[in-house]
Amino acid sequence: MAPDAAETGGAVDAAHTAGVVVTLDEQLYFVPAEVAGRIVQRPVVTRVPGTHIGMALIGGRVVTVIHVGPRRDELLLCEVEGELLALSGLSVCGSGFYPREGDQVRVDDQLVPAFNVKGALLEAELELWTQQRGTRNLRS
Amino acid sequence: MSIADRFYQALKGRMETTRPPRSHGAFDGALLYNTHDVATRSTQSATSMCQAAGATAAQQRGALDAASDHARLLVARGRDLRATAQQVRESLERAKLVALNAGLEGSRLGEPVGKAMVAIADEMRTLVGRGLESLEDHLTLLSQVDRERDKLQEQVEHAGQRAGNLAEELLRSQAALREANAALSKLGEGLQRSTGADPQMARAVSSAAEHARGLLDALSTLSGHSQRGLMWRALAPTIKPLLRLLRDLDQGARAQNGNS
Repeated sequence: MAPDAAETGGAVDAAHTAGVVVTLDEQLYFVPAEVAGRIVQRPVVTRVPGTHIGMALIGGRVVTVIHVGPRRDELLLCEVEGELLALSGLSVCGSGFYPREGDQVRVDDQLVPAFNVKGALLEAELELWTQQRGTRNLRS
Repeated sequence: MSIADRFYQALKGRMETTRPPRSHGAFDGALLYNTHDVATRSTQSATSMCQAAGATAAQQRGALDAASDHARLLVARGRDLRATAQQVRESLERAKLVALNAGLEGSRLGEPVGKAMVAIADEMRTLVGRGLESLEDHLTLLSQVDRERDKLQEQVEHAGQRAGNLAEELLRSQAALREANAALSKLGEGLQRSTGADPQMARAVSSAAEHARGLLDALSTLSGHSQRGLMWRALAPTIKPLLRLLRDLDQGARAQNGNS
């Protein structure tokens, strides 16, 4: 994962925050630099049947891919609580410093909410557990 | 059936239905020979023109086939162009990702260290975006060119088929005209047999009759003129030998009739 501003000696002022702006279903979202790692070209993704989850080899590591939208040519690599995951279906349309307004950032006179990466991960995990339970019930 | 075929059939039918004349005068024979000569020359001229038109049609067919081959080559070139455009698009997409990642890294560095990096990344992303838009425009134009080229190829192929049909029709016309020539030749032989006249002599009589008619018309125009004496003096050197010749011919004909 990329080092943060404190480690490199740089500083983002209190009024601005660093990160990437993405679109999903024509709606803008913001992913902060603490969560967003980098944007990569979509590799071969093996889907887990019956779920919105897939597996891909990125930079020599097996990474969980969560499909949050329709297929696109790029993946947003994120780190949530030390776990590496890639979001598929988001279109990254900008990166840099953005003026902060509460929990949101301002992009071209538009207030943009943060994308709930942790929520997407939890949802995917729940889906996986439900799938596993269903398979067990079928076996019994 | 081609026009030449129809002409030939009509001529043949006419020849078959026309009864042979019972007797002919020398002047009738001469007229028949004259008409026969005109028909022969016309069919020969039509044959030559048909041959020339056939050769031109064959050349046109060849040129259209070559044009069709070029249109097929354009299809292959179009595929090459698309493959190259796809490579350019992939490179631009990668450059866009590089710009986005550079912007993210710059923002992570914080201000003022990362500000320049973010600005450069933004500029690069904008330029790459413009490049991608232009590439899409080019691909759209290429698709239009593909459609136009397909239409062109179709039309060239149709034109080639039509040129081929025309060449075949002209070949059939040539064959029909050759038959018409042969028939006219036989007609000439039959004419000679039925009239018993020497063709050379008949042609000379026909030619003399034509000229005599012309002379008669010219003299009729001059007959009403007031200066007849002057005109006679001017024409006499030519007219007098002609009158002598006509008198001799008349006397010879009378003597021949008296003997028979």
